[in-house]
Amino acid sequence: MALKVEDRALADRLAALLAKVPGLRLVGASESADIVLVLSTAASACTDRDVPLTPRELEVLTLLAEGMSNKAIARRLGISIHTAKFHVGALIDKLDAIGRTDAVAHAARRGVIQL
Amino acid sequence: MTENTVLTQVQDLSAAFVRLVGIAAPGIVGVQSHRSHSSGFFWRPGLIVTADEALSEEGDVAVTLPGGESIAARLVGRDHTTDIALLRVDRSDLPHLRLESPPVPVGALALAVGAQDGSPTAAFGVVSRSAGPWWSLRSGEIDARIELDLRMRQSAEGGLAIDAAGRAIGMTVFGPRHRVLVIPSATIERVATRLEKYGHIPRGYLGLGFQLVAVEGGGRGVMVMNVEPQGPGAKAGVHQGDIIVTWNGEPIRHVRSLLRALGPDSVGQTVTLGLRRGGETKEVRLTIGARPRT
Repeated sequence: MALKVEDRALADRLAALLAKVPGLRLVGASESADIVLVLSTAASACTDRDVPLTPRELEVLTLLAEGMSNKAIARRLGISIHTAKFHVGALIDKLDAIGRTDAVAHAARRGVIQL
Repeated sequence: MTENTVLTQVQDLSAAFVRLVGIAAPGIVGVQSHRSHSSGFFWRPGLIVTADEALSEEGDVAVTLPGGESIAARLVGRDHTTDIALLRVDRSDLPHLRLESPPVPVGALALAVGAQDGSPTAAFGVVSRSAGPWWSLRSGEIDARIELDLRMRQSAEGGLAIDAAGRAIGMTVFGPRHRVLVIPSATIERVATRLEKYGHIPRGYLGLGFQLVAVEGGGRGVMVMNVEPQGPGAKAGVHQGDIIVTWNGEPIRHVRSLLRALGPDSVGQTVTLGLRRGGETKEVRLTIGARPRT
């Protein structure tokens, strides 16, 4: 079964969630699978330099780069710790997907870092 | 090679794994906090290291010793930048495994040993990546990038990574996409020692907001976008719009180098900043403060 997801952020979240489900494996493009998630062409045409991040993820990225804990991020953004953890997890997976693990470099290019 | 010889070798290998788990298990505990079960290990008598990420932000913490006895634990300190938390228990009679930093080659076999309900848990795989120091997403300095290709249960987070010689090479935690990372022994020793002494990891603070910019006439710098009133930067006479181009004479190429310069030992140090203000060059002396606890 193939499931087409237009929204990249949503697809990433689904993939991140599914990757954690025990007994379930995400397969590569050429492998056969029971379920297939397909991104729209436009959404997948992003470049390495420009990771598509939601405004909220950008905020979280900056706070991460400043070295904040999930609790501090939650307090700063007025969200629950659970939600902060979710954003952090999605962000880590997103950056990892393109081989970047340096939050500071990304955050510094896009916004102001408080030190 | 006869079939019997092969079988004997497989049994020897299996017995060796059992022995390796047996070496680590007496010092590994289960860690319970609000809605979270993870693992931890005795680092020093009465002191347990565990994964910060798995430890609840609030509420009581209890540990389950090998055998099943549950005792209360107090939080000594936690450092989310390196994912290390330190707990204290009123028991100093339990064994602790010395952390070691042997070479960790890619392809070497490794075990992830945790604990659940008083019994050890184990996962087995190879070292899938072994590289030099790296910076965590939260700007923590980690002494080596070690990844294990194994499937680890949730409750084993905070347990020990054991090499084929039975040496504890670090703490197992989850990285991106649930990959298993090892926080190496050197990082644990450095951070846990500070946590034991100070209860937290101090970080340098400037009280300034920065954005990386290309400087007129070539090179890079960081522009001061905002100034915290009464902060170290404000006291040193740094103003909004200044561009910091050097730090103790060294050019600033990225924000990362500023973060590096603001490590635990930086608090209280005085540095000379080279500024560009309205096209003019200027120097200020700034005494680094301690970042407010968050």
